[in-house]
Amino acid sequence: MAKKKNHNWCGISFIAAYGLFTIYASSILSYLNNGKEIGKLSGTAISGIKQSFILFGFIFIGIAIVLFLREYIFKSGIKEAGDTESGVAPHYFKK
Amino acid sequence: MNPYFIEYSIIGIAGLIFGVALERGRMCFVLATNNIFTAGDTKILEGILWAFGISVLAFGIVESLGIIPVHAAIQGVFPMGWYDLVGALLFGFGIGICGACMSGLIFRAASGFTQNWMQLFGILAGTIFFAFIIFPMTNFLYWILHTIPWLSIKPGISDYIPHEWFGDAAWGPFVVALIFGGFFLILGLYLTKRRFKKISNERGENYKEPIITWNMLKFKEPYSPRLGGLLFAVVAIIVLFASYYTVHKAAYLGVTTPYGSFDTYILAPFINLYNVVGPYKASFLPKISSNWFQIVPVAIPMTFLVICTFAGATITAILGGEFKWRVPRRKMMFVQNFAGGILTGVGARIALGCNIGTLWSGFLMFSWAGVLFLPTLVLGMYLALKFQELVW
Repeated sequence: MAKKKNHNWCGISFIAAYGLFTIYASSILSYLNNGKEIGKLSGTAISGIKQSFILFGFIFIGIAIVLFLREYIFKSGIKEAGDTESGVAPHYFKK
Repeated sequence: MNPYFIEYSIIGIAGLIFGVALERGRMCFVLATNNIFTAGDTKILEGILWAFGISVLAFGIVESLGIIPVHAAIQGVFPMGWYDLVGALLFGFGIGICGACMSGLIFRAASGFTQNWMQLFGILAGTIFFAFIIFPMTNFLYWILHTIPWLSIKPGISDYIPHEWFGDAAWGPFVVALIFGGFFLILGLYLTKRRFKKISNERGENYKEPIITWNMLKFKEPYSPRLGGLLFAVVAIIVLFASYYTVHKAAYLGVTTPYGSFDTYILAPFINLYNVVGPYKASFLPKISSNWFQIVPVAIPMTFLVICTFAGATITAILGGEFKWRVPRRKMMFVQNFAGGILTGVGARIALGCNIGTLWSGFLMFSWAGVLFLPTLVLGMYLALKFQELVW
């Protein structure tokens, strides 16, 4: 098997982390909203925002699981990572 | 169903599309500017001009036809002022030092560029610095209202260019959109045509780039910047419609205010930044004390959009085989990006937004904010380029 030269495990962890962060954020919205004088959100707003945060949090975790299966079960993501044409490549090591 | 749930969910999808457009289209204002200054290459700029042109024209049509009433559209209008000039200069220098604007930061950080994560941490620190030091100590809100009369906030509809030029005429937004959007689109098309002609002459064959191919859709090759620009415009339109038809308030794209939300979320277990009372008081707002966080809601639709944009960009970076944890050869780049990030964060707060929220959305709102933001933004990026040439 070709040596794995990308860091997709890290990217997959990022996506799972976005999901966890979103779920975490949903849990503190009410606490942060308490005591605000300007820009205080209504109960309906907080409730709706929390629901969508939680929904997308689980979606991101689900996507991370699918990408994990793709990478490590189906082995379809294993290849050399390409450059991103980002314009800052000279600053980086190329392995 | 809860209208806020619908709004945020649709905007979440828009955020994922935005992330795809950024990562696949390499949409970065700094990259576009540096490519012009250093290589005379306009490819990325063309995509940005497409984004601006198409979205401004679409917003003008939507508002002229009354699909989104003017009174709703102007609710989110950013007022223009001296702070756009000052903030954009600082912001432009900061992103120039970091080599990535707000859109560039997202797709690079989401693709594993460590120096852009450092830039993000710098922005988070800069936002806190502004919120607790600059904002209260300078009595910031007072000065944006009471200095330079011709560059101060005008209330309500007065800052809306169609109203300023054409009064209440229904066709006003469309004409203004035709002027600004038409200019951007024609310039974009002209630059594309000129670039194709130049490459054709160099290669001795008729050169053209497809806007979209199967390989782009399968993530096997990057998007043409023009496709990225088109998706940018689509996202702006989705956000406007989603917000208006759910909670009856027009929302415009923005990136840096959400970073303030991230500050509060990250620090929530230790301190509630929204309630912290500092030693300095902003006299303009006597009821509350002293910090910028107190005047922003705990979550705005763009907070959610930015999280989803990061996710969209990371997903396509993985699918495109381009995710890689990239560490700069010169470790000094971490310090440079953190310092640049602080300048970026402070500049964005002074200008009430960034290259997305004030520049692009400024044009979408038909406010002068975008026009004022642009020249000093470019000047700041140019100075940063020269500064780096001197230092490195």
